[in-house]
Amino acid sequence: MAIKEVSIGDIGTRAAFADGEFKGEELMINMGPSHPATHGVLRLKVELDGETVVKCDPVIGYLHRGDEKIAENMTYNQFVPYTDRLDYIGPIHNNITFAIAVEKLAKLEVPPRCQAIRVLCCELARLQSHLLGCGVYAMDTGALTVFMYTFTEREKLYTLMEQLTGARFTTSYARIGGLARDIPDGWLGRVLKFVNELEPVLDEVDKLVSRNRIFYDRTVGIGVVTAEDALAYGLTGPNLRAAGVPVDLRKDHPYSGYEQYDFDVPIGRNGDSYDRWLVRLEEMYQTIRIIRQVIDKMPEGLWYAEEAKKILRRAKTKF
Amino acid sequence: MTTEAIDNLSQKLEYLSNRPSLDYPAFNCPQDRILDCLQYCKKELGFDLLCDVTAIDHFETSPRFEVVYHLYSTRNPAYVRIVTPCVGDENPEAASVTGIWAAADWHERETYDMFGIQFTGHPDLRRILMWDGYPYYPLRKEFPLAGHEVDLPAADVVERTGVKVLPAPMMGGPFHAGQTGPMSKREPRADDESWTETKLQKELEKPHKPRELSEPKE
Repeated sequence: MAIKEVSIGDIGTRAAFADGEFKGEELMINMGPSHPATHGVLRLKVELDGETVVKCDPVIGYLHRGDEKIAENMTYNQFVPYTDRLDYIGPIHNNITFAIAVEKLAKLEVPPRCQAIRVLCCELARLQSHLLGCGVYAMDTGALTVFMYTFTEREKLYTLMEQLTGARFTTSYARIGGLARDIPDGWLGRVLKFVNELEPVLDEVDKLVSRNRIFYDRTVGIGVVTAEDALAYGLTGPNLRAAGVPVDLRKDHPYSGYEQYDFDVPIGRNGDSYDRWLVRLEEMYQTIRIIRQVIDKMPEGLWYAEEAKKILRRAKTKF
Repeated sequence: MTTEAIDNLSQKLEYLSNRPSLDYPAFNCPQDRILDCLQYCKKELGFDLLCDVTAIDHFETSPRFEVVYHLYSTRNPAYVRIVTPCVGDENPEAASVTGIWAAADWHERETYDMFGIQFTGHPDLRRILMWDGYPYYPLRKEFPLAGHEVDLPAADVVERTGVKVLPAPMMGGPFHAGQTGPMSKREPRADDESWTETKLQKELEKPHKPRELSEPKE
């Protein structure tokens, strides 16, 4: 690298040199596995050109626990607590997804009340996940206050989860063919109160950040994933929708009675970081809509399928 | 594309055969035609999203390994599942589909890492969850739940620096605590002789007989 001597006061000349001739080699940086900002432990081998990441090689195995192998040696219901740990941000939806998969195999139908409670739980888990996602997203772009708002609301959600399942994080609420227990008395009212209080907070978060000049500069046009790339690399969920692909399994393949509820699916246009923010924010509003409808229509009856007991026998083969 | 088009897939591509499935249409495809078949699914039927590539280990039958592709169409919401057997039982091989969907890159690396299936034509086939140089394929049926003791992955670091490398607190393999040490006190299943490594080693030397489970008391 050539170094030219310039006088210290002459900033304009220095900038001109920096532009043209101070072209160095790319910098290799290791991020993680114990970087304080990497929440799930992974290591990123990144190659930087100035502040731009030109190449990234993720090493993702640090949290690999072999859940499939563990599951092979268990009965279906024994595995439910392990599903909590798959995504600890919104654990209750993992329980339910696993239960639905096994019920499909067992050709088991669950009663409407069970389905409605499951939808309610899944949507609360979406709120948990998006509240954390949006909070730390804004924090990483420099808006620390948003994190305080969203985390306060998340804390209320944990209280609701504790009232429902007995645990804040490790819910283990779903069972094959039903749920661990019925919802407690007065719980639906508390959920309704929570979402009524959440809506103005979301408005405030929206006002704080979405039209903020600094936030705008840091997210618009950054990290663009086009619709073609998103499909080719198999993105799913809000990331795929932010790229402009209208895919939502709740609409396309409704399960657990999602077809009864009226809600919209937000779609992004440019697939940049800003769209991903907006999609998640709007999804929370839609979730609140769904939760109100579920509470409104909550059916009476059993919260488990009675024939479940006949189906669940211990597996005969074991490796 | 309609649902009939998917149901009639096995008539259109005569090498496909229907596979029993409880939810979505599923087909068996011979290994030498798999690229044709998946290319057709993507181009003609619009299955633009590759959800998952995984494998099944049919222990002690031949062909032992099958690769499973889960496809999804975002334009006309539909799933299809294509299954193909691998060539070879101990060192299975399958064709890589990274040329059709870029997403196959990591999925195939994971399947290689867990089952040891070599995907021919993959641009960068190396382990993704376990470390480079790990000698086993953990999701194969003969691999014990307790894991095998292996050398620490940093042998080159020891050689170069002379620094002693100690095992991390989670001992006995990546999946489960070993039989000795403090973890076995906290995890009672670690003391269960029926599935430990040493027991399994002895059993592997004997002719294979599936272990019987005692029936639960009524």
